[in-house]
Amino acid sequence: MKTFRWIFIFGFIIALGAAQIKAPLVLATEYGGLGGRPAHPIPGNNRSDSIFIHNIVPGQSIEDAVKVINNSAEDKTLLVYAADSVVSSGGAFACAQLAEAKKDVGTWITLSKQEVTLASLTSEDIPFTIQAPVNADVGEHNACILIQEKKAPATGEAQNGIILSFRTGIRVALTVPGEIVRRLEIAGFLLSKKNSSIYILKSSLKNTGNVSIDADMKVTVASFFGPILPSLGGQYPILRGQTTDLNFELPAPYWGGWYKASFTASYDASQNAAIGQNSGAPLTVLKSDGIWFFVYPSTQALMIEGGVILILLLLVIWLIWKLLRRRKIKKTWREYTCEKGANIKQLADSFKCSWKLLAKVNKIKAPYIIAAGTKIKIPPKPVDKVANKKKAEAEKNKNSK
Amino acid sequence: MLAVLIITAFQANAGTLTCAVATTCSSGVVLFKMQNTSNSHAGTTSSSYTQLVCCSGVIGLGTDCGAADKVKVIGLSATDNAHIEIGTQTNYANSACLSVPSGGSISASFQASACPEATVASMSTTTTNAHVGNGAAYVNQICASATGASGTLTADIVDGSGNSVGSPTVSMTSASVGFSCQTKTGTFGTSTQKIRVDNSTANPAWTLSVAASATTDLWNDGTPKYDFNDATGSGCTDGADADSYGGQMTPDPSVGTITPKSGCNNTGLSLGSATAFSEGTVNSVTIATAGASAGTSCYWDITGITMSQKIPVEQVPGSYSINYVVSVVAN
Repeated sequence: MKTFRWIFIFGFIIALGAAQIKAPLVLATEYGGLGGRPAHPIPGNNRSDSIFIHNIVPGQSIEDAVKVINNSAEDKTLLVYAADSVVSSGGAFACAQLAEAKKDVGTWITLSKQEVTLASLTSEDIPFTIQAPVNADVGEHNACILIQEKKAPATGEAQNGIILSFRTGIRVALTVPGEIVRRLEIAGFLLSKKNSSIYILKSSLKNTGNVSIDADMKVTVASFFGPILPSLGGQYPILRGQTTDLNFELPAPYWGGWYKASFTASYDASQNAAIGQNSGAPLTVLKSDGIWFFVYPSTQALMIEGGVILILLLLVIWLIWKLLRRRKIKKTWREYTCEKGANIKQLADSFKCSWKLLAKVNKIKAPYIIAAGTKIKIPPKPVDKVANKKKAEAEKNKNSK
Repeated sequence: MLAVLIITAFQANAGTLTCAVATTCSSGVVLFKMQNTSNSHAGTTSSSYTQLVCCSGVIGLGTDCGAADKVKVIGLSATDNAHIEIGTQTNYANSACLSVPSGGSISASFQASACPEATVASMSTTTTNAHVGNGAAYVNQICASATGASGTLTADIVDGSGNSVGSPTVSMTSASVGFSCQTKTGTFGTSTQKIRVDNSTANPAWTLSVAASATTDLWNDGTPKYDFNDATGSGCTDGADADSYGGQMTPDPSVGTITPKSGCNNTGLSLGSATAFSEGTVNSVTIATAGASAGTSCYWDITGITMSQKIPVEQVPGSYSINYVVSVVAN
């Protein structure tokens, strides 16, 4: 009986465990964030998929809509509002804050609602009206539509430091037609060092026209000997009336040396061009002055370069020595007629030189047999310095008597 | 054996479905499992098999067979140790489905040629009672394609695992009351609070900037305050602005580091320059700009931005805070 009870308990535990293993099917989903985009992009203009682009005459009213998106895993209440555009540092596009009253183009935009609650993975189109004032001047005017999560102010434990919140914005680019001027100038090109392994190339473009221009910027760095490093750059919007600075990072070339950096900016200067639309006219290309700069090689490269230079130096020294020796041999070695039974080793010993040198100068190859009567070149007689000295002293004594 | 099928690099157009057979599925959904990568039996997601059929790349992608917009990709003869059949067959009771949010589209196809979009797996027969493997195992391909929810451009602070940080802050080094103006720094973007820009839209150009929630904001500890955008006296004294406090903050994004998502790169990205806030002149500081050559369906983590704050002479001790807004704008 006791055995059956333990069997029953054991079996129940196993069954319970098996039931836990067989979990219900889990539904998984891939989520994203919050944001928005134009609800009615212009066919054929890819830029209008991400920003609002309109031509508008003074006094005109245009209807559009923003698609507000919640790709997160939770329902969210979002604030949606229009704001003036502001220029961020370096001439970049930014938007005024929610707390700041609209004074400029932000006042042209009226949203049908400013708060929306969206379920997870849903979106809603919020209509808005753009009303251009009757005195709007020719050229481009920018504003923003922003989306941020509505959050209750933080309570409880006090925070210190910089407290961060986040929002997403969409540029609203409105062009009042008329005499459109599309003009850029190069405003500067500077090189600086970020750290021991990265340089920063700061390219500046100034827009002196009355509309923004999408400029293609290309920074080129070439070594003194010609090879060009992979170019840096891309296409960036240069806002009306602003100077835009763009910093491109250049990894320090491994081998070091002298390099020249320059940048070009190309854009469509035609009045018929617009945001996201080229006119088809040839592009205007601006080119900056070049900057020469020296990069120290990396430690490893320096060792390799040093080693190569040393080897080359030794090679040169060896070649020069060979040349000088050849000249000396040509100038000073004398002719000698070999006798019967001449042996190159014995000849070398008697003339006090290396048998290999003797063979090489006279082009004698293995087995180094020299026929009697063969004329060869041999080193000059060695100078007997002692005998010469005695002879000189004897002469001197003789003369002094 | 590693899956032959490689997940497509995320520089493809935003919202491109990709599937692969692997032992992990860190980002994406698991459709079903298999015992081996070829000549294998299959199991549902509750199976203990280790080879996972993982699909990703489409916002809102799910595996809900009850969703309005879904497709049955395969049927399984059991929840484990199962043979499979193509989704249009009805012999088997268990299903593996892909779903997308309402308004999206999802489809599956079964063919003996390369799949036009995502290769889910392959099977030993053309219809039913089949063994399964990864895309390279058999000629009979199981394919899927999808469009999901519209992508978004977002900025956030994430931790080292990529999870959103609930109440992100930037801490500054502490200061002592001094008889001279002093500079204290903090780092905006650390390994545990990284600035992440995530662009799952089809358009690459954006600007990331930081600004106070209002130009009249102040570092605040109740009564004691000091400024963040007064340039007077090199940021140390009060000027002609509306408040009566000195102090100036200078963010320096140029010393920061941009780390792209695996499979993406930093092409087209540019970090901003060191710039001090100055009321009425510089109200927003650019952290980074992405041009038309930047990637999409990518995210980038930015770390190491120095925030230098000038603190006026004899500033009252306290725990000060200020509200900043990080904006990412499609332009």
